[in-house]
Amino acid sequence: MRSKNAIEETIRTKLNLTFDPPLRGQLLARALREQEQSQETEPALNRPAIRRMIMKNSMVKLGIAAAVVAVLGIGIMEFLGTGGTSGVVWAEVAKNVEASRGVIFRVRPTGSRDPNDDWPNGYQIKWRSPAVTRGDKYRGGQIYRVYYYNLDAKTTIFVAHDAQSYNKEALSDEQVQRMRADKPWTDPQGLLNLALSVEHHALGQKTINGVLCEGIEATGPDGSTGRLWVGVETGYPVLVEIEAIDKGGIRHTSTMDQFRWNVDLSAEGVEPEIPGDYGPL
Amino acid sequence: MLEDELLKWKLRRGSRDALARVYEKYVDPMLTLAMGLLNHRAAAEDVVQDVFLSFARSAKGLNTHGSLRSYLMTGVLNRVRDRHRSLQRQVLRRDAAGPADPVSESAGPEQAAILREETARLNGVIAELPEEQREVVLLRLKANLKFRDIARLQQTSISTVLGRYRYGLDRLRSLLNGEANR
Repeated sequence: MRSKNAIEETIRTKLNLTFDPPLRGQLLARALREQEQSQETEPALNRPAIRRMIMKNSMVKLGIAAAVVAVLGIGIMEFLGTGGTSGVVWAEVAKNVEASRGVIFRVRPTGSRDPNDDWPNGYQIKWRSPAVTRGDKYRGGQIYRVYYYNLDAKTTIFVAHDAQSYNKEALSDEQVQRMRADKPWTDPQGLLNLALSVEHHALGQKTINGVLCEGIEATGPDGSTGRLWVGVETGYPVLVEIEAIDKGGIRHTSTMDQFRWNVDLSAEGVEPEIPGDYGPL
Repeated sequence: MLEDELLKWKLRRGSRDALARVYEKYVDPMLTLAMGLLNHRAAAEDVVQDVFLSFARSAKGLNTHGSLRSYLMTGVLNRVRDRHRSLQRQVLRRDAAGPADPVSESAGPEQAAILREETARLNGVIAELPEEQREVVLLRLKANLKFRDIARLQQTSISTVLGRYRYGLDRLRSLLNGEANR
């Protein structure tokens, strides 16, 4: 008689299938072709659908995109003379965001199907500028991973503090070109296209962490929403909240806050340090 | 886990080597899971192909914080479910006396010859479980998912999932011990 443990062990160790060699090779070759073709396609953010953005792009990209989309959308309305008489001049916000040299902010995503989703204890601090992207991942208040791209220096660094190891590589010209093209918040035309396809309405004013803000909410055709709160005095986004329900009925959210706008990232010592006792991955 | 993190990082930059490594590492476990859920070799291969090609297309914008294994296995489960739903719609349109649902067919003799004997036998036994129990057993034992994550995928409570797992193992034990006693 087999015990339950024996049944579990049997399934774990003896239920194994492998692809036949010819099919195995064909599928890999096709996958590599698909990967290559996907690099040549237009950035997803040029396509007007919030839901698609949520499912195919990082929440960070989405948040920034949604914020700027909403801002630009409202800004256009202001230019067209349909805006209200509130404290925020949205056209100025759009200009501020577009002209910002760099931004640092916190991201807290949740709701993915991912079993390792570490909400509410995990978060990322993101550093973004046209040339630099850095993400510091925190869990339990401790930094455990850092990734960094510098398109001007054509370098990329990955540091795994939890494994005391790192990886540092050069970026090819092709990779740099692709990554520059894939920065949605530096593409006003793409964002404008998006803004014109998304409905939005004013949320009024409220105080967030002592800052008087004014908000708008943009809604996609599938019901996904993005809320943007902008400081009345500074004219910069203060809080971005994104919500969507995926096909499986799972609610995805992303919250971006603790923004520091117009930061000169070249002067911030953004490149991560690799401790001397860390080994290469 | 650390290797997965590095692979994800490279995939976002379009690394071919990273995609090849993910393929080498996970394609067979994906096939095993798909076969366990479908008990039909060709259908299982189609599912894995769909999931992996989709993964290759979207790898540049990959957005997952956890293991690639869980990500890909969840993709297999969702694709199998889509397939079930599609076939159920087709079956509804047919006459009751129409041809059998290809997914619910047991593996034919030619497939059984391809599969290793032990694997074929186990797949045959697992196919006798109700669908929800089969999912829980395979996601737990072959995809290494946590019960709370399986509960999320099945949109039910953890206690229900634990019950399905327990009943599923009991049923498997009964079937396998029954075979052994023949």
